[in-house]
Amino acid sequence: MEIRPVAPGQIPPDPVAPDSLAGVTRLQTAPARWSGGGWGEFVGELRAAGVEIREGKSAVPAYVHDAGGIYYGTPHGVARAQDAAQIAAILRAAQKHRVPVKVRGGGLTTEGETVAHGGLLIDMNGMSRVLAIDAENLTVRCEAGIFWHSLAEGLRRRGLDYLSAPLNLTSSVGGTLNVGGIDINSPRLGCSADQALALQVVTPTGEIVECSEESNRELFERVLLGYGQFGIITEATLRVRRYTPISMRYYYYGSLRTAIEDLQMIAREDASDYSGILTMLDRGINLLVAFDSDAREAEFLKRWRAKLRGHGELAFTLHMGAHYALRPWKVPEALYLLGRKRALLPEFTPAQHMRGGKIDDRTVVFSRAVWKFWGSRQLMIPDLATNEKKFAEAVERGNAVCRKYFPHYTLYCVGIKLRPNLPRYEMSCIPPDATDFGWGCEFEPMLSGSTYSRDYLQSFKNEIYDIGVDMRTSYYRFGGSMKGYIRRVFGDELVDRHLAMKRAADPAMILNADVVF
Amino acid sequence: MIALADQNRPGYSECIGCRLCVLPCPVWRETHDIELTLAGRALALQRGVPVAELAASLEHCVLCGACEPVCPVNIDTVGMTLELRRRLRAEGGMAWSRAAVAPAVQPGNKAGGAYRWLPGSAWRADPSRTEAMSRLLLNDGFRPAADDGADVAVALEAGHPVGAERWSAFIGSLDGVEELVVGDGLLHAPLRRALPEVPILGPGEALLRIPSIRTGLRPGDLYVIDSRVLHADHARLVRFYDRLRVESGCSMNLDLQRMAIATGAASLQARLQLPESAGRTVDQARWILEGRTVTRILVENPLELAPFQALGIAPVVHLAELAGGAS
Repeated sequence: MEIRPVAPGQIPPDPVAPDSLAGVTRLQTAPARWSGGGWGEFVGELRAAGVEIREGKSAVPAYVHDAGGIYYGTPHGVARAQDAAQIAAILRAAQKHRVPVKVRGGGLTTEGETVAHGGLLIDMNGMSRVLAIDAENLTVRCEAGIFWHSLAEGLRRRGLDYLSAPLNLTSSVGGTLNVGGIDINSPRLGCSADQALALQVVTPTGEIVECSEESNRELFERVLLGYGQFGIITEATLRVRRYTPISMRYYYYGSLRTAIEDLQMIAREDASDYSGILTMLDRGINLLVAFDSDAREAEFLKRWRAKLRGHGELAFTLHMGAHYALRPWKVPEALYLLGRKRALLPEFTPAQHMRGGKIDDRTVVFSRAVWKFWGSRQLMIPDLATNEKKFAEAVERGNAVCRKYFPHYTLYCVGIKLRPNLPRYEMSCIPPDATDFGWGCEFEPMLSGSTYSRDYLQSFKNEIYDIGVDMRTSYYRFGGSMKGYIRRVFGDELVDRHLAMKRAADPAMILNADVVF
Repeated sequence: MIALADQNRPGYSECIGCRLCVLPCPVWRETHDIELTLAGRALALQRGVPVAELAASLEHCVLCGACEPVCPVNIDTVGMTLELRRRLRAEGGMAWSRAAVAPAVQPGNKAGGAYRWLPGSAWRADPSRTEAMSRLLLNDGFRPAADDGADVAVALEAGHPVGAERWSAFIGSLDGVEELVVGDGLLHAPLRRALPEVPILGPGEALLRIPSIRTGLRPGDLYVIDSRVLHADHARLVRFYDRLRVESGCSMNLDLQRMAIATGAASLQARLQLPESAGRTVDQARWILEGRTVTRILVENPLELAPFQALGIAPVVHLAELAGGAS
């Protein structure tokens, strides 16, 4: 097989054959490791300027793979972020010596986006300070490498909280602003990126720029949801809110489509402060709603509860009992669901986090449960992001793929309130044909205790992503090993336009190469 | 030599790299350097990095134990770190710990009995406070143990080997015990493994059985839980302290994950007064107090008096001083 070299800035031929829409096993490999030409001069220049670069075996172990656990790579060296001036010096030198630079916050990507295949890796966690909290205007300024959880620790001392962030505690502010950031209050508040008021960005050519919707807006719109292509976020000003514990209710469904329709109604009607669907397989379908205040909960019960077609726990248990009584060959599945429920539900109401029936620090409660029950050395979380109309079908098709590949899995569905006509949405996780809301579903197999080959796992992911190509959706996981799908979903015109912007901003194409371009 | 890590729990090879252990880590808070954390050590070992290259990481650790309850894989993180320290010392590392003197077993009129109090070296450094504590515990039937294992605890933390014979003698001296109050939180986990039927209490939990102490807590108090004690028995004690918090209205040095934020004052580095330690413990105390309005600070571990006193923000007392309605 002839392997043709590809010039920097060129998109190689799509490795996913256009007629392969049936989950044909494909070998998506990691990018070739950068050969290292110019590394010595690059490091010499930076060290002379006082920038510490760690090299050697002990410098890289924490960075060799991301949360996905499939793609491995080692940088030539690691720099811990200190301040914007240091980052700027690094990027100027990288442009000069054509050294690829990969940026990592929490490393919670799953497609190898934050894995360096040679070159320099910048660990943004070195910049993790809360810089200023404005309790009156409800904003916070922080360094972008800070974990959302650490930000919450600082905000909580003043009775405040961030608005929304991914439910895993160790994602970073900067990383999340680059990809979106979805939480169960995103149907009401939007994604994390939409809560950014201002950013300090170091451009790929080493300029330090303050940007917002009022100032340097074009850069602001490129960097948010920009997958690290147009600059490194070093500081962010974010909206915050007064902290509230939440009260939570669960409704159980036997049909995915029915549950999704009700979830979408809740979002459209702004019936709750938090909402989402979490399933065990496609049998234990749980629509959760939660509230920041008693008033909101009372209004929900008065105006919307009767419209929901879900059952309370007792009624659903009886329904499921009847279902499995008529299908005795599925008893193992029933026992699995029962065991899972018994193990999982207490984790959502630990005594030390409950006050008067409300959950205190819900992100800690949910995130610890996520890691305990879904965490493993490999995380497979392919997803589909669609408009409202396509969502139920996308979820049903994805569910069928899950059933085909794995005995146990979870679906997690949540909506994202959109702001009108933002350029940042253009080539991102926000579905191009979505208007008021985007809808996302993560398809997550439960891998603990089982061993699967990389090819098997990649085939599963590809078959989910193929649905996106067929239905013209987008994806939350956007880039890395699945970047071949981006052009297929968004089309040549849009992708080439963004590639041209990227080339203009990053002449040597060194920043976060092989993530999107 | 005794096994330091619980052999029935996963080791570093099972680390999934979630980094939850990083969030409550005082070393992470100070440095934001993953290499200096438990996650950094585990991932480095998975990649074959020799123990000698983990020296800085192992020597920064204050062994507060917060990493252990948060680990979703249930790795014995404290045991793992103690084991690695022992290996590092055997290879010539841990030079700073060689100054640690193992306090001799104290003579004196100490009897056996079913209920014993093992003060440990931190308490013994303040004889009058230990004596007052002993009198309080005697009211509850606890008598000072002839062998409190202080040398064992220091050896564990310093990476010195603890011979099987010494360990057997220590455990043997506790034959017939029905309940223990153990001052050094680092001994709680190994004692629970060796004596699974014996309840092990920290001094704080024991003192809170005294009504005048428990009712002496009030809103406006910041109650500083001994981190090593809490994290060695987190599932049980987190509910104990939560009830106390609701009952008394006091605030506590708990983070959002309900882990005790440690000052690090109980660490061997601080007790040996290594140059950087004093600043670190005061900085941690400052972080614990940040954003809070407190009228009094109560500590379980006497070593944590100093860092809070250094800040001069509110009166700082040891929990035992509430006995009899004092303070």
